[in-house]
Amino acid sequence: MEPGGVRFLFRTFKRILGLNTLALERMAQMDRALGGEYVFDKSFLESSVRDICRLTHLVAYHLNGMADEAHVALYDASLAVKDALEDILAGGMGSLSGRRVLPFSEIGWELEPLVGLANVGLAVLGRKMGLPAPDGFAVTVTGMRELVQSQEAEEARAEVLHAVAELFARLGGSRRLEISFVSAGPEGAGKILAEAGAETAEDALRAIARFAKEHAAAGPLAACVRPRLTGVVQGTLQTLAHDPSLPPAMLAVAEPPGAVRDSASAGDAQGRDALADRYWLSRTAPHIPLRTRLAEKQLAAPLPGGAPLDLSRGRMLRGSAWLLPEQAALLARLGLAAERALDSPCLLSWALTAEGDFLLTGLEPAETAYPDWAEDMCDVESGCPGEEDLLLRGGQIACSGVGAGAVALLDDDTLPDSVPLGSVGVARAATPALSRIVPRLGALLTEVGTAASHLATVARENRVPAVFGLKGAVGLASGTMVTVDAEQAAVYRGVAEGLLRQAAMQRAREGAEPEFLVLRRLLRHIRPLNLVDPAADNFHPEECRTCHDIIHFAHERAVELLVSIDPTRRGGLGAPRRLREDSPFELRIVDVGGGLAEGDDRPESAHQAGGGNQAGDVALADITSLPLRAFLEGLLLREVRREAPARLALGDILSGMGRTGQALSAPAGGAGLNLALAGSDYANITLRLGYHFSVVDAVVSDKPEQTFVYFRFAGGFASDDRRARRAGLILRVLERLGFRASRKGDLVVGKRKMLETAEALETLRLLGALSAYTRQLDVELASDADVERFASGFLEAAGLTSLVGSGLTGQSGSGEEEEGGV
Amino acid sequence: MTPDAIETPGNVPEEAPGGEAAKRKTSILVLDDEPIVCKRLKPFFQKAGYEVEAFNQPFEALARIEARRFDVVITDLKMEGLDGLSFLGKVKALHPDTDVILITGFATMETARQSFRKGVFDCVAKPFKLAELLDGVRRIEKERGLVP
Repeated sequence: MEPGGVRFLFRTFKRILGLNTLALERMAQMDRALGGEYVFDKSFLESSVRDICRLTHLVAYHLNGMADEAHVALYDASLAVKDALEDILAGGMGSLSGRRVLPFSEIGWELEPLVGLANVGLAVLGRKMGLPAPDGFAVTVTGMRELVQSQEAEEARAEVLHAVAELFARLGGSRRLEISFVSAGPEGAGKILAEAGAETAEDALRAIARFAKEHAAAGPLAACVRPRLTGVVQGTLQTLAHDPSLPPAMLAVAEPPGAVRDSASAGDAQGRDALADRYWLSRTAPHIPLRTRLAEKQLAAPLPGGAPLDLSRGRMLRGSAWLLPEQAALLARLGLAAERALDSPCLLSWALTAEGDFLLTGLEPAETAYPDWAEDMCDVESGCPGEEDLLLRGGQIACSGVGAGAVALLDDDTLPDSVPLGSVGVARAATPALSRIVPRLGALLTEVGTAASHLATVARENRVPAVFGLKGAVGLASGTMVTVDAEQAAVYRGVAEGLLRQAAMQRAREGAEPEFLVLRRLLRHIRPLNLVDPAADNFHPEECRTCHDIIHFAHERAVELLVSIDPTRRGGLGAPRRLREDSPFELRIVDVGGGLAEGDDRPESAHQAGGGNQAGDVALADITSLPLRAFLEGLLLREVRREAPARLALGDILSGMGRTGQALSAPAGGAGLNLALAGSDYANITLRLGYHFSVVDAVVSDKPEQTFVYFRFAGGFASDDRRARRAGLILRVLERLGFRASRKGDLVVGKRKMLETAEALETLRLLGALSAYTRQLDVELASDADVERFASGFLEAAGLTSLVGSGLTGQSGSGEEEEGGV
Repeated sequence: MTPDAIETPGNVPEEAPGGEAAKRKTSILVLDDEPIVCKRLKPFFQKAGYEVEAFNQPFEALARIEARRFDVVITDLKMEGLDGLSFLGKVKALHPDTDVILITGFATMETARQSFRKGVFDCVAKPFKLAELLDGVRRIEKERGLVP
């Protein structure tokens, strides 16, 4: 098979698709194990990593085969991820294990054993997620150990002093420092063991060295050093606080600066400071207070965001809580974002500035006593829904869990900021374009898609409960409050608090086991999808940080390579076979694998009918390529074909002559040739009849995430405005057929992804019919009224009359004049 | 590992006087040298209404088997010290009517065939879903008449 030849490209493309599916399924299994669905052991972790690394490497290898080694940096990315994963399995500290201090800017999740959760949490939340966390640095496990060893102590001390000086330089001057000492190492839980303050670099060094010496035998330790942030109110937020009498809640404790911190434990009345308020906030947006316990305050006490409690100031008082309800809700949102990033409940420390902004000041895992399993009853009395509340059931579990919120209907053009936080997103298809919205959602439903899709992986990464392939989902009314039980693939009316509580408790209980910690760390290098948009500047192999990045990059680039196949490079494919049907176009077909019935597989009618025809001709009945056959079924429809000759105006002919060379700028040997490459589930159809040029490229698989239909249309014979009208007509029809379509001049590009088989085949039939219908149509489009007339004519002939009148003839639209490109 | 399940008298009779077998909880012994497996299985089966003892050390489990009979034994195949097939042999020798489910991360047809010859009730490959194991236990209960 010739490298670069059509058959080679097609087969390699199919290998990439197959490998992607295997890798995504393996990732899904790991995700589901983390979600508690499977019982697993260490050998499962080892075999999963081995498999995923092998699959990722193979994907990189095959893409480079297709692309003539244009993406060799993908091998480096693949090896870097493999090294990180193997280090985690070996209980290592990562590639920077020799460093004694590390600024937050160099700290990522992979360094958690070396620096502890407090450092990695503040670094990642601040730098990568844009949450209001401070700058700072970590004294690593290595640094803490060497501070008490005589040989390296001097160097270690110097490095700590230097790190403080650098931090002060970044902050623009010296600050009072806050130091947290945290348990670290591969099995360190990240608990904060002690805290200290320091005014100078020397103070900080003394405090760190003293702690390192006094706790040298206590296992791996790290120190988290950052400026002390203060505000008008400070406190803690425990993102999961169990209270049997409440729905799943967060517990915020707020107090004025200088008050004595307490343990923040739910219901711990003994250690409570007299000035501390407590707020139990709903974990479900909009995070209303479920219960508040406010401390008594002086009437003249200054309260943030409002006037003092002075009755003489009027009838409308601010209330006596340290936090306003909207501030508490904002704090809850920060807490949930941090919990998702950490993948487990946590205890945040925070400060509220006079301007009303929250600052994160510290972070550690949440500690909560949970009741035994036996208390996890879920019945109607405890807030679990009954069958009468059931709205929908079915589909595949893309991410297990339970979420509730108001329904928000989504499509690829939905802007993330337009989706209220905590919504239950509902979309027709699970397309990667929805990835940016996922972190905002309380749950996600789609009618098309599977658990092995990219979006499913994104949902699991963000712990957003999701059910894909759920029929009837888009029928849910926008704004309706629903609960998605992704454990049972069911959607219930209203907020089912019992289900939410049970799911939250189960997850928190299982997440602290060592195997879960390792699995969570592994998945941080496997499943995050950083490269979402193929058109973005960062869509390069060098930017691939995870296995998911690598396989997604390869998938997108492989599709592009396939779509841009030059059919004339069909070396080794054999002679094309002529389509022996009454087609408006002369079409020749090349079989690239399972596209045409051969020998005894050919239908009897074809044998007989072929007797008087040219040798090698094929009939529609001989075509076994699903997408090509569907396209031809539409193309051959007599009902949509316009047999009357086009009426050409003289101006059209003159302007058409000037463009002849451009319209026929096909590669040598390809001009005027209508050629289809046919595989069993693939078709690439190039039509160059007359003066237009169109390409249909489609894969129709039983896996919706692998199915796509691309359509490009350009050229024509008439004047610019008439060709533009035809392009506009095609654009409108494509949009009504569900394509993401754009137009630049007379070039129209449309894409549809994530389709069920029947839907994809129907789409191809309509494209075939559209190709027949619009043949030479541009010369007849003398006015916008003609666009309306012909659009209506086509849609009626195609049985799509309900779409007529829905904006088909307008010349302006979202896709107009955008850059095309597939 | 010391079992913290409720202790029951050794050799519980097959059927309590008066034919009230349904009132007795089905007893399960879990043996796996991976602590996480025991930590997952024990609360799961307790929640489902079973009497469960779980062990990480084969010799501790063996001592317990010698002291009393269990309705069901769930054991790992590959363990340090004593493999699951040997443990299966000892269980069957002591209590022929105890049914054994084998869990393993290295499931192959050969080991499966070997274990079925030794009288194993079912094999489950890691990673597995808790519901799969529960199905196996329920089938045992049905076949043994442990449930009405």
